[in-house]
Amino acid sequence: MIEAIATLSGLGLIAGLGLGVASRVFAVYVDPKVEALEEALLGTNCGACGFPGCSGLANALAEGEAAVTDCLPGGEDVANALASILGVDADATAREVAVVLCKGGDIDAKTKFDYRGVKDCWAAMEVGGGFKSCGYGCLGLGSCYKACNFGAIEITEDRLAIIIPEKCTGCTMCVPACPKNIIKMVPADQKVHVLCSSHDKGPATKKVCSVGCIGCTLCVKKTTNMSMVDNLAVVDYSVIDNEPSPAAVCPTNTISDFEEAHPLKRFKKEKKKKAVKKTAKPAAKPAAKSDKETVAEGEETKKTEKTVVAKTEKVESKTGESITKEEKTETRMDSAVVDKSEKVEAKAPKKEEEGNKDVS
Amino acid sequence: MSARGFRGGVHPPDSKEYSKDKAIEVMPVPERVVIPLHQNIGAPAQAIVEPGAKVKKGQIIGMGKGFVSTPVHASISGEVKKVGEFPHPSGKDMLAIEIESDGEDAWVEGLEEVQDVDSLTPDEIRQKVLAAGIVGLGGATFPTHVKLAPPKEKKIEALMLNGAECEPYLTADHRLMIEDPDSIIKGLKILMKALGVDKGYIGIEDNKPDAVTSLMRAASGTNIEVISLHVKYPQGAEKQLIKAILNKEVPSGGLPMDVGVVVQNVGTAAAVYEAVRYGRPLIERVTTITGRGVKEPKNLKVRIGTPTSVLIDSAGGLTEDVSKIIMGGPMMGGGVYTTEVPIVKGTSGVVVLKSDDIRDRESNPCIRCGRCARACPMLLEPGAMGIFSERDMFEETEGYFVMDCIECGCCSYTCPSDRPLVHLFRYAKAAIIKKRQKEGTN
Repeated sequence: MIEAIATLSGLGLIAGLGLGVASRVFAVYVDPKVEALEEALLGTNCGACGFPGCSGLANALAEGEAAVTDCLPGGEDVANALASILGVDADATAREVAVVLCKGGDIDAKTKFDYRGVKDCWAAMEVGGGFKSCGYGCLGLGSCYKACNFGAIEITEDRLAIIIPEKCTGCTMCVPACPKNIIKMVPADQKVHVLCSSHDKGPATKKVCSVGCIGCTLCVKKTTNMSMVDNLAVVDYSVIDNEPSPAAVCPTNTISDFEEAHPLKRFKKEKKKKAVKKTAKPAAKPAAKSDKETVAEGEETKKTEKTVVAKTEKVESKTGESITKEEKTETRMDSAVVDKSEKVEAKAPKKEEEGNKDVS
Repeated sequence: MSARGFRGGVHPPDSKEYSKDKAIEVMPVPERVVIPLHQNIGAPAQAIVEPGAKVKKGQIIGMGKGFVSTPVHASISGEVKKVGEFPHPSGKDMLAIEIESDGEDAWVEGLEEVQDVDSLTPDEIRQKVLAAGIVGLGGATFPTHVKLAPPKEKKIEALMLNGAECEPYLTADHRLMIEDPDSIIKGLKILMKALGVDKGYIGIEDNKPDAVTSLMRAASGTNIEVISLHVKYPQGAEKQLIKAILNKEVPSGGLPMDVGVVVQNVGTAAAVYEAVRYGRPLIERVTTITGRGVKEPKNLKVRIGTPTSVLIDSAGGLTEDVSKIIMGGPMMGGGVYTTEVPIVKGTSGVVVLKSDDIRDRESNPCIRCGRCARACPMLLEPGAMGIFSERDMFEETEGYFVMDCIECGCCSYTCPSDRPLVHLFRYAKAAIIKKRQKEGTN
């Protein structure tokens, strides 16, 4: 008994001594400054600073290789905290947030064809350059959503990405995630934005989207902080005074004032028309429908929808040969056919709801 | 002769019965054509005519820029209406030249005929092929003159013509082989001379015995061997064709040139003969308009730039319940969303499908059944690659050799979960290429 206790105590002592010695001999010096800096950072490891995680930035800061303002999501508070640890001054930089400069979801903007492929904007770009008729339009398949570490991006039911300004930390990770390059950083205190990126001429824009900037120049004439660049109205964010609000004069509702209508409300205030329509079950099964249309031009708009529905079921039950071969194609190209998005739109609501919305 | 093949592949119903017995019809000259400037792999041509200019049939209207680029010719005579963006088979709007016919259909002056084709040197042949704007007519549209100028260190031993036409529905090459075997053989001889090879092969799937007979007759007494191959998709993919005929495997990331082979389509060979013998540029091609969606499927010789709608009209119009129009074959072709899309050099067919031809189902998770791996003619693992690229794990996808994927669609075809595998691979490939470019520039 006593032997056992003694043996164990002895072992404990020896091991303890060994550890004690090792911790002295092999001690790794950690700069307390780095620890403090890391503490002050957010700890989300979002990568916006360009260093490997928050500890990477903390190290770089201690080495003097980064600026205290490099933590974009942290904003002013973090910058100040870091500055006080390092004993430097934080240059006050205006906080920025990201905005998707497109307002045309499926309700407002037309689509070229029905897209049934991989749910990713970059993948959709592989199919005929995207399914939106407008070459600048948001595809709304969520590539930016995936890139956001802060849950600040929502995809609406009619496929439009919306960034919630309150949640956006300005980390900029969503900017390169957009294949259409329509996410821009804007000063957080500015609330009026032109939600369109189309440089097409007015009539061309109007043809494909009801909320696109048609380059009418009304805002330039009637307000103080707007200018036209290549058929697109641009807000000069350095001019604070914007009376009257450009949002009020814009005939297409392209210019939005986030103060008046929160982006998540889909700018309800501004647009009284077309309120819902598709919202219920967004893209239910636009899939099938679209194929239909290829058909020449004007003819059968109505016919289509019926057929479509019928079609889908039929197809499924069938295993026969003729069928099989072509699904191939769709998977592969998905671009399917089809044309006129108006049809698509009209039809959509009727489609039964089985499909998941992403179908489209 | 015994039939040969390769590992993998699938057997879709060939559906060629709609048009395989229809002789090639020459389509009337269309009233207007829209000729895209981008009709080959590589750099697009640049327009050299202005709206209002009068052009003749065969006149150059777009000049190639760079080595991997070909000129574009007017396919009818008339007046240039517009140089601008028009729908393109790729799905994007692309620069194209619209020409309105003057009804004369007159050839441009100065087309050079060569009576004695044998007297031309390889360089002269290459020049003529380039000047005629010839690209691979099987669908990939790789400029032919580039294939005829292999790097010095690559010794080319054999030239292969691809008459497999393994895509379901299409019969354009089939009809051409039956109706004009002499042009094909003569074109092949010219191509062999340009490359300095003695051995020519023509591979044809054995569901076209009449084409095999026809070409064998035309090729008798020459060193051209006509080989009948197993009916299996994708027998006409060049790497599979080489495997089947010569039992050689093209290395990963390599080209047929790496095993001493150049592969051309039979249609290309016929076009080369026209270009070298008569100096005629590539302004028309044989294409199939078929499927249950048109009333009278047929094979047509059409001018490049003819809108698809005109083709559909000449095939008797659409039937009811048309659901999809595909440029090319159903396995590799792409759907189009407007019938304004013009026929281009690479359009081997227009397939119009009815809705019950199409199985439209939601994609489901991979169940690891392995059918795709068995079907893959490149011996890849599509299932694993699909799972990786779905999760944006592109390095892993690349590690599974996604860049060797020929996008034949066999994997998607066999997938019981209806996974959009080929689309995922294209997505991954685009991301990998983007990454490589970025690394290259840094």
